[in-house]
Amino acid sequence: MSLTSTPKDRLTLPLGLLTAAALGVGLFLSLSAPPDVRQGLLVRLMFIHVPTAWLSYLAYGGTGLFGLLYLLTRQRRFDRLAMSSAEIGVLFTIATIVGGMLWAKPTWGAYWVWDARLTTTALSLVVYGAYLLLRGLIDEPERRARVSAVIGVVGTLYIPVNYMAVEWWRGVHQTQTLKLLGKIRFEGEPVYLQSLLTMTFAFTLLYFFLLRVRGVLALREQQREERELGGLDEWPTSLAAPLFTGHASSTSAGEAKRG
Amino acid sequence: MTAPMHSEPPSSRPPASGPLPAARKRQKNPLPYLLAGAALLGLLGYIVYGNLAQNIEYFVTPTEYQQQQQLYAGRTVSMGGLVKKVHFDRQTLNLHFDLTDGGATYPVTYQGAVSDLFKENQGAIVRGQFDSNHVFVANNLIVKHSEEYRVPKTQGELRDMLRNAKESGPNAN
Repeated sequence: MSLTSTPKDRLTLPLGLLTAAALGVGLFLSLSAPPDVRQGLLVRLMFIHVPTAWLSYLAYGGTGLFGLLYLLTRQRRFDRLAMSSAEIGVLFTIATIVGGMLWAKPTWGAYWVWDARLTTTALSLVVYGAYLLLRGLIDEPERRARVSAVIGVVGTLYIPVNYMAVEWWRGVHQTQTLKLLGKIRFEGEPVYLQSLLTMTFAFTLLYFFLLRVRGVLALREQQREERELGGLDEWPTSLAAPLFTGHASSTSAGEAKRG
Repeated sequence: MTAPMHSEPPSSRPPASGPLPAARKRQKNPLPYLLAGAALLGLLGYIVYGNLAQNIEYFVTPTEYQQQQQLYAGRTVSMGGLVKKVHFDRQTLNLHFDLTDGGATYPVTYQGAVSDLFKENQGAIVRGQFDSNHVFVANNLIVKHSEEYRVPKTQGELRDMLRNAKESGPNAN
């Protein structure tokens, strides 16, 4: 997927529509899934909780991958994608925690326990929160990209540790229902697998859609930053033209307010 | 009209607040960064605090407890196993049951409401201490359910599920 912002964006809207359609189908399947023999309708929370966790893994993985690509190529678009991905990751980690807490209270009997899975999940918020905070503190773009790329690459360790936490250490959190280690099998009714896979697919699309949208925004931010630092002449005209008009008006409005 | 116009911080401070920085035209307001930093430190502190009295292994099994009784004696421990012989008094909310892993079995007492999933043969993790009568007094009870989900297969299972759903209404437990 090309993330240079071309004058005519042929990707974002179709991707968004496809995501919405997949989410619609997934929600329908999830909300029509039959109750579990022990948990009843609470089992439907799985179709939100697992896909949000999956999306956060995807996003943190993206931060690591794009950070690595930045370190290899030094192209700033990879830095923008890494940052966008980290923001998405933090957002969906919070969604995972909130959804998980709502599921934990009626089943475990507590919103929160300090077992290995939950603790490492909370730690990821510290790591990627620090990642985003650090980006805000470093003004020099190349240095900011370099430092955060290193954190992003190292942070990828979170994914296997968090995924395996339920296998490596005793905890409260149940192990994976869809077993991917060893022989792949699903410890549940096939009807649940269908909802789960559809929602996971929809959330995968959602990740790429959000990454696309945030990446375009990040490009505009970068262009504003460069303009404010006086780098206006360096712009390739094809890049600047479609974004410049809308953006310039908003900036002048801001200036007028300040002035 | 560019350079001096940008010198003012965009928000929160009155216009006449001192000289402008030389290098950057857009000065950052430090407040969001301070708040974000404080929030992160607070979260980290909370995570450390929450794990202070904890092992990375969340609980010991009754057999492990039996083998290392000297180590755990008089200390607050988390013990996990299967629930057997449940007696629950709905009036006083007194709950008595046995916690076992097949090798060792300990009587547990707990007072308070529990999750609807709590029942015979269910996994549970209790946190507390043994009293002088060798009964484990739990002040925290977590139900550990399995990762298996299935719809009721027989009429009996369906009836049980509906009855459980009914009993877990507002006035039960």
